[in-house]
Amino acid sequence: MDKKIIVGIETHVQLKTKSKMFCSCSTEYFGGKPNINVCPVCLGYPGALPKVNEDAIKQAIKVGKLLHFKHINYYSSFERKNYMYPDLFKGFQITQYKNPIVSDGYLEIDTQGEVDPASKDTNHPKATPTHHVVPKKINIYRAHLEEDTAKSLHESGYTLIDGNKAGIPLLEIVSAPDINGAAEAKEYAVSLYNILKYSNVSDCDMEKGQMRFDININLEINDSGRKYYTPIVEIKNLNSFRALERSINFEESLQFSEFEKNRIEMNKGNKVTKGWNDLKGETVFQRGKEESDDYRYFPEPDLPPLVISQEFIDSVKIENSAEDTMLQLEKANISKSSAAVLVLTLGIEFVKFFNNACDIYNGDLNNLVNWIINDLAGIISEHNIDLSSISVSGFVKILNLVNDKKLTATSAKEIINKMIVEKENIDELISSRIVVSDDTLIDKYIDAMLGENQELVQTYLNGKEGVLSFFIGQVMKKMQGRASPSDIKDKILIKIKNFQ
Amino acid sequence: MILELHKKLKAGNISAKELAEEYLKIAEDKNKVLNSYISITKDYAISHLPDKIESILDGIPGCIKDNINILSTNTTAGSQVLKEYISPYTATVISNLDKFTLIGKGNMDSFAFGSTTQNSYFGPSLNPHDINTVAGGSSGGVASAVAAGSAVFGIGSDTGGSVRQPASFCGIVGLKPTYGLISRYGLIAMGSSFDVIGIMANTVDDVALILNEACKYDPKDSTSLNIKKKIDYSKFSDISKLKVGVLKFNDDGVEKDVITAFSNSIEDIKKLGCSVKEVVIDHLKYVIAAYYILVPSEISANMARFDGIRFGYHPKGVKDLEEFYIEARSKFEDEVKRRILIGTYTLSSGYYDAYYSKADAVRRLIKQEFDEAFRDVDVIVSPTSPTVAYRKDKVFDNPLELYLSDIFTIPANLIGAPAISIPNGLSCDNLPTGLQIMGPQLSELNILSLANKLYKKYG
Amino acid sequence: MITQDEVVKIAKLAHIKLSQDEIGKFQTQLSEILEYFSLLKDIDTTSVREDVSINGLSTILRQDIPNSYPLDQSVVYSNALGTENDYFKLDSKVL
Repeated sequence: MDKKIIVGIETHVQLKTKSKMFCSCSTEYFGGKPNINVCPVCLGYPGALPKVNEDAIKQAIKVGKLLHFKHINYYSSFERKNYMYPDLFKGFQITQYKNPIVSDGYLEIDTQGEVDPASKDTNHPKATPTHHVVPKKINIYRAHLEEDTAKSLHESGYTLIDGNKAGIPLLEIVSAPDINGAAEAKEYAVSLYNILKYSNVSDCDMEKGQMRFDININLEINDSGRKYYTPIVEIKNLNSFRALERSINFEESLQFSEFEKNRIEMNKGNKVTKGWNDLKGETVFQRGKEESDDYRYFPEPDLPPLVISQEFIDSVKIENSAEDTMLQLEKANISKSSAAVLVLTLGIEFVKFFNNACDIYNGDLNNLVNWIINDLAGIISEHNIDLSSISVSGFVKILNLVNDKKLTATSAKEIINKMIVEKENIDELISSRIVVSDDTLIDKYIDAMLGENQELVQTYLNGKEGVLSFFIGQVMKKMQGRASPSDIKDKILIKIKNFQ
Repeated sequence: MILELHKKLKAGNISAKELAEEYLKIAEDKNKVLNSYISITKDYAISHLPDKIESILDGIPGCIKDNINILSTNTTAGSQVLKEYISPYTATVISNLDKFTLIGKGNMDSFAFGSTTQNSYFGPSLNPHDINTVAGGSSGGVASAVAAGSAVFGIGSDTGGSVRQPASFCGIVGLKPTYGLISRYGLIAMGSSFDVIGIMANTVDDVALILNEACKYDPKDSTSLNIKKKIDYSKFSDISKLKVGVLKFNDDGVEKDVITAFSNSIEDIKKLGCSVKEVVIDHLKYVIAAYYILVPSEISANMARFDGIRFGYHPKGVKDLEEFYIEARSKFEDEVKRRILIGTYTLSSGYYDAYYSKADAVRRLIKQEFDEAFRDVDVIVSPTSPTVAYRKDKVFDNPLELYLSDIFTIPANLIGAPAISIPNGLSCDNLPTGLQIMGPQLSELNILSLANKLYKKYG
Repeated sequence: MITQDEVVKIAKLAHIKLSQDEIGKFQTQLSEILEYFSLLKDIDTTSVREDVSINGLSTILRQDIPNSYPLDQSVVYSNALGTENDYFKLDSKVL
């Protein structure tokens, strides 16, 4: 028996706007006091009416452009999706059902294929000796706007509800069942995450629930020339890439072993809904088809339809997508792995910083990227500092001095750290650490150090070469980093030779 | 009447406080018999008196239907579930009317579902013309208050005739404006694509003056119309050239006295110089069906927020969520349950196309047909209600019978058009009959002007 | 004629409890009403445009400007079943 996994993913993303989808309450919902950003509209008080947030529409159009949607629909409309739950204040969710704002898009992902010797692409960072990378198009049926629900905390015997999250704009992105397996699903989800985050559509913080996935999954089984399809399982509310991967792997083997046992095929009535228990690492049955809701969608009478002009669509600009930026960096000969960290992990603000730095930097751009992704980004995240507060020219000035061999890398790191964390004046820091060009001065420091450590010199001579780095460190310390460690090392080796 | 009172207040012949006290006293006395008010807001009225009289409505006593929110007052919508509900905000229309004096909140059928006020949790409002009859509904309390003289004007809501029918029953003037002309923000929704705020008063002049204040564009209501050119509705236009259409309707079920009064009105219209011609609307026979599918559908969703958590009836000692919901919603009145059930059915999977979708399409056909009719005539007249006020002990075994009596008022709601009811005579039992004048969207000035001319004749 | 089972199913969807008497009563009433609605069945509505709102409005948007503390905190909870630490509280076990 042969099997193929078939997965479709519905991704919910909270759009980055200042106010909610249908009212003017602030979208700052996380971590604050409960029920502070609420009004009659998002609390569903009788008589209150919704009004559409223009920027949510713009964000949706942006996604339409980023995900190659064929149709950014001139006409779209809102519907009410009816069901009662304590986190749904009006007893219905305003969503788009019949006429979504965008339809018919795709996302291209990298998948692992077996090596075809003729077209071996070993340059690709994800390529391995036995596999190479094959691009694959995942079709996306539609993306539609809706509102998020409130947050409910289920305690034993009672439930607490906070309305701050109620009404945050959501975009639901619905893929075709083109995804074959956990690896592709993860690749799809990560690509989506990168694209949306980079273009400021969403912060995509999964711990805050800003991005979450529902999946539909079943198997196509080939047995003695006949195809069988196992019943579709919907897994709701996966809120990490890991949960996405693990749940697919779990469900794949579960469905396969169940099919072997009972040979049950999918039909209209046997779709089930499950949840994911991350601790146990298993999917958990929630309800079957017969218990599923009848949502009774109908046009939202409080909201006239959206008729969007080409002019409006054109007014939504995408400065630079993640994809475009990666290509530009590749052209500038930046290594793909560094570019990926800069663009996808650190994001657009760091890319802007890099672009500004490029103009005045005097060395190999790969080094500049490495300084940014290894040093700058690390310090910033460790001390929770805003990137915009950091002077590009100051940062580059330090690095240029390293390239001119006037500063050691060690000194540069120290200065950068003090500049960022303690806001110290870099000119003073630089002048006290500028590399000593006078060889006799370095010799003096080395002689003094060797004089103080005669026993260790003997140890070294007896074959324990590890103490060499101690010697270098001592001189560096005395000289406050004003000579390069490699220079010091060379000089020490010469001097010790003379001892012999 | 408003203009005279305004002059007196402005001249200091009477203070806003004296006027308020006078009306509050009438309200308290008459309410014992008529049950016009769910609450008489004496403290609120006295503590919100205007410091000085500026705008036309400053200090003018009004009655507001109890489904319109006024911050920190009790707003019940005539229902048991909201009997203790305190409004957390104020409806836009109330802010627009600003410094009027709130005498009280008018009784109504629960959530405005009904045409007798007998669906009110607080009992029916009676008709000042004959206390053995009802005031009509659903804005019956407001109509009763205005007709009895305990308020100078009233604000109601009209989804299928709820302002015009009680106005007709109580012998006063009732206007349902164009959909979107007055903000709905703060009006507890019934059928959201039908609901409008309506105005009731004893004269057409008064209705026009209130409309002037009430109809401001509201950014909080996405269906609010933003009309660039401000119209003064109290400056009536010349109607002698008006082309008046007379609606052709089936006489079955229309009372003889109503038909007589209507015939007399047509003669009066002719005497004003207007041209008169018959208008046939082929789809008229479908309006009740379309309306009673679409409105309950919207109702079924609008009522889902009454889950007993943030407001409404709070169940105690239940074992799970389902029981909690069922218990919270068990306090809905029968007509509320009935409409939720109808609407749930007409939207449910497998029935949506045959009911909701079909009715929505028919609604558009009806609008098309009226649009065409309004190319030929400026206004269309008909009786407001097929009957005069019902006796308070009349039993309707069948809800459909009552639904069918909305035949004349519903079309205006289906097509979002304005319509006014004015008294046009008395039945042999001395109960008022009503004439409805309806026009295309935003033709308020025309229908008010014609209504004013005819009203002056009867008044 | 709508069946009693259908009445029960609809009532469940609407979270409304009906006694056996009420089920019977609503069965009769709803059946009559639905029977009346069948009047619409034969109307040809194929040419009807669905994309126009009742008063002709479209694309009514609001600028993305937040207002802080939109509702006075004292009235947020004034009609609530219960509260705890600024949360709405529902005393029954929900899941």
